Amino acid sequence: MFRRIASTVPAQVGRIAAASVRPSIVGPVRTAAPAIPRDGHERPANAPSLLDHYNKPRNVGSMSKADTDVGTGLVGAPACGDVMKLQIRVDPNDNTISDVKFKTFGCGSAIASSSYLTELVRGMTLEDAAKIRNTEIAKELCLPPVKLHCSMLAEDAIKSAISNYYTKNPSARKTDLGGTSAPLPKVEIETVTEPATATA
Amino acid sequence: MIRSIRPAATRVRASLTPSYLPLQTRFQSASTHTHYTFFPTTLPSGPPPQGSFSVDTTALKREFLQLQARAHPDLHPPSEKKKAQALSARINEAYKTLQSPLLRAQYLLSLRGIEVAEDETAKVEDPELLMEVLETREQIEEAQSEDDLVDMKKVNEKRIEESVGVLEETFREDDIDRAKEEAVKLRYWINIKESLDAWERGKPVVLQH
Repeated sequence: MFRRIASTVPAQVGRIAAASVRPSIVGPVRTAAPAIPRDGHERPANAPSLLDHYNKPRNVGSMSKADTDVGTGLVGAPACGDVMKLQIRVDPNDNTISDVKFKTFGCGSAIASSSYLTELVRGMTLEDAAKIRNTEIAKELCLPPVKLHCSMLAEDAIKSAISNYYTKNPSARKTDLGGTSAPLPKVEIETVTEPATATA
Repeated sequence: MIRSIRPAATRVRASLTPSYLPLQTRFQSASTHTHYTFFPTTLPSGPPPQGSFSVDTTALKREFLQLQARAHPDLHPPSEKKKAQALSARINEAYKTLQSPLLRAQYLLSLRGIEVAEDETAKVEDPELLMEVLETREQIEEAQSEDDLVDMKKVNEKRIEESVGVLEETFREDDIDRAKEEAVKLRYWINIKESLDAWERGKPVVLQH
């Protein structure tokens, strides 16, 4: 709310007042609303979350790709040339994510998005983790519109990791289906392709 | 860092610009106006497939400087200064785009309606490429001194060279799908080049764009 008022006021004042008067007027407005930094970019009030994840990314690292209980997701954004690797270790007893690591080579928002995602999915069941939407990440980190694709990349990464885990452990999914539907081959095929369609 | 290039908008602007400058007349063919139109000496055949993808950057620079010498806003009366500035900015944009293979490839694709640099929902469908990029990035991260980068730089220069070669071929054959794939690859190699050039001991790899 403050931001909106403050950003319109200097603009109007600027139109009326001469340029030389401007600094003295802009000064007090800035102190009243520190939300507007000098570079003119809007910075959301709770951006510390973004900065915190960027400055101190959580769960950076790698796990052995060869482990059968590890699912690896590797995704890239062609528009900016980012690459993101996300690995999950799955507890086969209850299909929950017991450990998670990531490595992102990209901009700050991509790093923060993947860092936040790792905290989010730890302890989740694969089913729940597959339901995470990029909007959740973008909202938490207050990503600006031009950086929304970073959160999409994180969403793709977890989906890709889950699908990799299922590829390595086809039985993990079959057990899931056992309770709810007949083990028809057709059903299984549909379910296997599900992550891909959900991503599109 | 990639500035968006919107050919449609450029074309509209081109057709709206009145012919007040002597040079302007040359740029008037609004419907076919591209960045290439500014440089008839260096790029007489225009964009591929008629012209080649590769550009003689030395000749391009020479022609660019000549153009700017004539288009410079200070050389025009105050009433036309704004228009001259706009033209000058367009020449700058055209030069900046054409002298870089990556920007040139992205621009040529955008002329065909493919926005590689804009489409943020696009995904990389090439696991091998991603793996190679990731491994190279990890190598850069693990580097202890400038010496460790020497070989990586050589390898990467070769990648860029090959990529440009493929772009040359695909644009000549008008194989737009392959050109698009290659432009994505080149994006990654250029990012790696930037990281290699900006490498400092212990500094994390954060891309600026």
